[in-house]
Amino acid sequence: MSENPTAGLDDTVHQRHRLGVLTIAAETKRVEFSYLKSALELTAGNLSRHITVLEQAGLVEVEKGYEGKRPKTWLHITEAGRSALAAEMAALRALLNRHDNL
Amino acid sequence: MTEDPKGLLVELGAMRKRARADRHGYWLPFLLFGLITLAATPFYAPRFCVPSGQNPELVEPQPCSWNSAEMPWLYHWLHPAGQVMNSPVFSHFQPNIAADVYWIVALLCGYLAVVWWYRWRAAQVGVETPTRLYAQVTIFMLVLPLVGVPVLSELFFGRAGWQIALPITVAVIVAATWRVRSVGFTLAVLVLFALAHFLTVYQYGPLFVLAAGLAGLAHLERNVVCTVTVAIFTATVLFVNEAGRFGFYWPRGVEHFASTAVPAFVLLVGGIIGSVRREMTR
Repeated sequence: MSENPTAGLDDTVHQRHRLGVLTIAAETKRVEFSYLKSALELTAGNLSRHITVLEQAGLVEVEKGYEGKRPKTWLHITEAGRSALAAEMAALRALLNRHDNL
Repeated sequence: MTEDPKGLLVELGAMRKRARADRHGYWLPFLLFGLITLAATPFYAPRFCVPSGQNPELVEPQPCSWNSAEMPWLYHWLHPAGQVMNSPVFSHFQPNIAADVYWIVALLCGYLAVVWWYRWRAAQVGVETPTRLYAQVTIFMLVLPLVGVPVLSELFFGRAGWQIALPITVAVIVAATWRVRSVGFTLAVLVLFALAHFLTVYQYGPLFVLAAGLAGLAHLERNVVCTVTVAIFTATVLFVNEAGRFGFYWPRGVEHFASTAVPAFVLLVGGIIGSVRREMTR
């Protein structure tokens, strides 16, 4: 019997907002905090907590700086983050295929 | 956001699409390089001379003759194998150091402007396009013809002969790149080496640098308009450099500017379409 696709889901990545953060970050060289807040429709506090989880797992790196006098927080995905995202997407597709074949 | 896998995948796809659309910025490089190409036109205008000892008022000026031996050292450095004359303006071909210098300065400034543009745009919209591949291809295509090709020609090709030097050079490139990356990477490096050589021998060779750099940009942008524009531009660059080989020459009335105006037109149209599409999706 083949392994259940849910075994491929990673709790850190699978949380839908964190998956959204990784998806957007993977499409760019780096993404700004306020862009993510708007795209994911999250509060600053909620987004910060998700980013902290991803950062602690080594999936993203955070860079703080200034644009003129305005503080800006940029985030970019690591190689581990790209691999985790690819694995998660593959697991989701496998889950979907299995569901459709039932 | 939804929890079911199908809905989640659809939402993630939409997010990726939006982030990609937001980070697009190819229209400015297209407009910039279109203008740079157009501005090169005066450097290709034929120079006319009246044979010495004849009255300029009675004799129709003819295209000035030139001699490779009379050209300055910089010409020989930049074109170690000379220049072929397959362009549609073959009949008026005249080497021009000013055109060489113009292209070196314009391509370098254009490259810096594009990198700055993507960083500036990132600060405005919050998502940045990775420009490393574009930067690597452009710098490679600037440095190789300026230093690599002349040095290789002087120290290797000129002494061993191209029949020996070419296979050895290809073998060294393959050996150096094959294990490091993929077959595609090896092929890309070989193509860039060939383009660097073309740059030194073709009259409109600098357009090959543009085509290679913009191909790198199209790979990063992943946009249909961008990719199609670069494909048409590349075909146009091949045409203006090679058409003379197949007996095509521009009509008299347009020959002074057609070889720069046509590739420039392609880039300007691509840039305008990209800019309009961007405004419409806002």
